[in-house]
Amino acid sequence: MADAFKQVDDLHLVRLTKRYGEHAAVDDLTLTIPAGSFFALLGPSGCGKTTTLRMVAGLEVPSEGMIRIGEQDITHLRPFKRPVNTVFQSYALFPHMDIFENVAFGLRRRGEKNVELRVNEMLDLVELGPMARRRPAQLSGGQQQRVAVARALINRPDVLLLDEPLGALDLKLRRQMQIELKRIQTEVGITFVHVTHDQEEAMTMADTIAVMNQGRIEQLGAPQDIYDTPHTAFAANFLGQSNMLPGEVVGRDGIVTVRAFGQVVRLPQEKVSTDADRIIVGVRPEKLHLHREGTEVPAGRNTLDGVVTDASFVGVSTQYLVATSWGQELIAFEQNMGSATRPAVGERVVVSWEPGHSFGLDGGDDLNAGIEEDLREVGHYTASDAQAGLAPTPAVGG
Amino acid sequence: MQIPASSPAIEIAGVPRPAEPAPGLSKRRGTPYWLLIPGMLWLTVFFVVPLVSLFATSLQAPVSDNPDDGFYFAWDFANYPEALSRYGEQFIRSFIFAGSATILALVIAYPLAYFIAFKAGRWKALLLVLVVAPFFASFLIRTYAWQTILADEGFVVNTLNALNLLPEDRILSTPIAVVTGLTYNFLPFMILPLYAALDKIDPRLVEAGADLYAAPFTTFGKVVWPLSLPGVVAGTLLTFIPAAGDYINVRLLGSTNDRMIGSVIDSQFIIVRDYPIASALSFLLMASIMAASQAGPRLASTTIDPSAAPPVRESGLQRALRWIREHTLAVYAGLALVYMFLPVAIVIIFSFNRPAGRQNTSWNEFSLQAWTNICRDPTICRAVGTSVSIALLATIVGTILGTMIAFALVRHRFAGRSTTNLLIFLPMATPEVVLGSSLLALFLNMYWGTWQMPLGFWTILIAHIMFVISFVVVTVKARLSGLDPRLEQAAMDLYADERATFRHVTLPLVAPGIAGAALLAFSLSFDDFIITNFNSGSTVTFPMYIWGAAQRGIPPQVNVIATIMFLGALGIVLLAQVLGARRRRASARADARFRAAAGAAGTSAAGPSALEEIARRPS
Ligand SMILES: Nc1ncnc2c1ncn2[C@@H]1O[C@H](COP(=O)(O)OP(=O)(O)OP(=O)(O)O)[C@@H](O)[C@H]1O
Ligand SMILES: [Mg+2]
Repeated sequence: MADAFKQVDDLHLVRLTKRYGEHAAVDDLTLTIPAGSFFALLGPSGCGKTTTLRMVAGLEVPSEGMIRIGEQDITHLRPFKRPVNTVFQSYALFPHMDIFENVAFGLRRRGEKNVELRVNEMLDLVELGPMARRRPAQLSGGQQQRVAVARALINRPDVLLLDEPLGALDLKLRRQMQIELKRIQTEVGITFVHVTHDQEEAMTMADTIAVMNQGRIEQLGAPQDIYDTPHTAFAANFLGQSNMLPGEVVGRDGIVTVRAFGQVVRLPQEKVSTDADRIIVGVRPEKLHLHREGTEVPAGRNTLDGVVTDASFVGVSTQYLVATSWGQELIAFEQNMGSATRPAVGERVVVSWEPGHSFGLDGGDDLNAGIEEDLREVGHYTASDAQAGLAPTPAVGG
Repeated sequence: MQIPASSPAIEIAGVPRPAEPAPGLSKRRGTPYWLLIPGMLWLTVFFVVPLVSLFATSLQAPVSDNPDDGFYFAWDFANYPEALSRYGEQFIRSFIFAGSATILALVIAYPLAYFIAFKAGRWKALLLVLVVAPFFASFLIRTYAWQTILADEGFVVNTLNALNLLPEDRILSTPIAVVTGLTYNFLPFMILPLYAALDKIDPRLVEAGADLYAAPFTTFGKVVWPLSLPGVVAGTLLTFIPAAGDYINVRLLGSTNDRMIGSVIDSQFIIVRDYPIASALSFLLMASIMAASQAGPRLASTTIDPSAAPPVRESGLQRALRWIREHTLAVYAGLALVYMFLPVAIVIIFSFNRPAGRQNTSWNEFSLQAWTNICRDPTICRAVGTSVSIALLATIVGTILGTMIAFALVRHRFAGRSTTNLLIFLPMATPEVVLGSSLLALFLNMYWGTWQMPLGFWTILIAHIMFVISFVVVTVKARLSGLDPRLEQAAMDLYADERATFRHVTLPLVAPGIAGAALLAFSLSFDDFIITNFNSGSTVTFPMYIWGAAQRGIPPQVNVIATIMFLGALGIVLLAQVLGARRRRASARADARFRAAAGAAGTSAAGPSALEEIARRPS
């Protein structure tokens, strides 16, 4: 469907702020979204994602700051003058027009040719060809969402804003639409700014993710970088799960040595995003390995002792909870490789991981930041356990 | 179809609506003068000025003992206590009658509105049409029909007498008849706002109530009733205000002992010509209605105590109970409709009567005479022609002016918005006798040398436009502020500038509201008697013809015309309904055909195959 690769410019948000009364929904946001990239805004409900998109679309006037596409300042351009289209969070389909006319709307306003052909093509693309003459009220939620995507996409804007466009789709259709959106995006080369709650969706689709919290960007980067080296406890918890050990830095010479609860762990300097003396050492559950008593732990790995308190088999992997001597429960995922000798509940084990797989956060961060929102999706929590374990044992000596 | 008065609802109730102008659409905060000025000017000249001069009149004192010598301005506040002491009885009676009628109307209308909103399914639109349809068969002629229904020795009276239920052995010329007539006449004003409020309630809320362990009565008390309160308040006001100022029902159905305050004001202006006392009475009436409408909402907001409701047990018994309850509601709604249609049926039936004497109130013999010779008395047809012309012109001008004001109010923020809102609300809160009499005073004062504003077609038209504007504003405004602002934003996002957005999105979406407002305006104007009576000079409109013919006997041709109006309105609306339904069915059929064809070709139309194919297609 794309005949020409579109030449577009970067989208710049400069010190963008939106206040509702006292409350800053978007707070001093500075971002550059490279032309042609698939950019995901990820964050908990109410963090300002929709507000940010609406300012880019021209539907909300920023309290402060500037929006540019390339060198063109569009901060105060009327919505219909912007090369930007939106897929609304609530669809906003015109109830008095049928599906065909909804999709044709933008083309007709710009007086384009071949409307019939292009609309039919677009409707086939989203599998709604046979429903062209229905009214929006006669469609299911998922079908309405596909109309909303089609209606925006057909205009081939420089920037397409998608506000949780796939929220109402079932898992299968959702995956297909993800592939479809990604394909269209690479094909037509327009910039996609995609808002989502779904971290998996963000990680599979986006080139760049911005993790947003309370109107600010917590961290920005490629999905893998954010996952492997989160810079804040919020990012670590919001994107995936983490085990967190608060401790003191006792040595720094390329390798940072940390003492936590009497144990010593090491991690490379470049994985630590702070100069503070109190830091939190984090490690992802799938990076942990369990060693049964009597087996050899390879040299150079960080180790902690513990007792298995829970093991749940989830198909491709087994999830373990391992209680440490100070009461924290670590969570570990082990691939099911067919080995018959899995640790049993109650068994003493050694937990180990590569120092390079850990990351260091500022010790002042709230261990629970970003966790409530995440609970729904994962159904487990670890960091709060860590904090619960921490509270009664502040003076564990080394 | 958009039901006309559906909307005075929310606004009149004074429920604040945060009508933020849609961002991106109207960032300009400047006063939209060109939208406001024409309509507001009209209201100022023909409503505010007369009201002020009426107030001045209420402070006048007579020059001499003979009222024909005229009055002079004297700050004579004594007119007020004087008026109260002379006519206090009629005041109290008016409020008792109007209050009873309002309560009865609420009791009749609520279940009916509830039934239409939640249970009527695909009959919803039809039922709504039936609720407004009687509006189009003249108000006066329908009230006369009650004379027939409630006549002594009639079926109703005989039945009730047989049961020994009537203290005075008759209904006509008793307060019962007056309250029956008042309830009947203003019932649509109760049903429509109630329906508008109930219909907005998401049925899922009721389900959620049930899901959260609330018994049906508790759900009603805790969820439905509080959410419908704006409708209750609006309906109560819209019924109470005209009922309190009415004098037609008491004249036609009551006795001279039951005179209401409207009758007093009317005769003081027209017969006694004691203008200061008449004006003072008008203001007292308005003031007491204002006071009542302040107290009304507070009274209504006392929530129903659901703990008094009987607990419902889960059993076969419960199923039986539910069956009865659901069908009770349907039966009740049916009876309410019968009540609404009984007079219309009488009007239609008696159009086929050959009256024995001059009065067409008892059945004599079947005849098509009236139908084949409608214009036998040419003044009837002339009167209908006059009424239709006035109604059409008033509808056009009133709808345009009112719609402009509605847009200004919803779409702009400007200083003086609340004043504007008040100025829109006031004419609806003013009894028609007051509107009519004050306007008459203004017209009488419009002279230039020897030229005097002639009373007639144009003064009637001016008056009708004036009282129609408010209803239009309120109806259009409700539709407009119920419009999801994101739809207009989506249009702007899709390259529609303001004009294109207005043309392709706003106007089509608001059009049903405007059409409903126009329909309402037409019926209000066509049917108006009280205001017209003050300002008509020697011009005769259809309602005035009926009024004037009453003594001589109303010819069956009047029934024919009322029947035609009624059936015509019903026919137009039903036709629109049927066409809409057919279009929907056709699109569903086309859809089914496609699915069948796709199925035969071995592909699933609903399946993901097409998407996958496109995804795989090399490009
Ligand atoms: N018109 C408004 N007036 C006042 N506050 C608002 C308004 N719109 C949004 N907010 C507030 O601004 C904050 C950000 O809202 P926004 O809609 O951008 O959240 P979001 O990140 O899109 O959330 P979600 O994922 O739930 O859609 C919220 O706290 C919200 O309550
Ligand atoms: Mg949002």
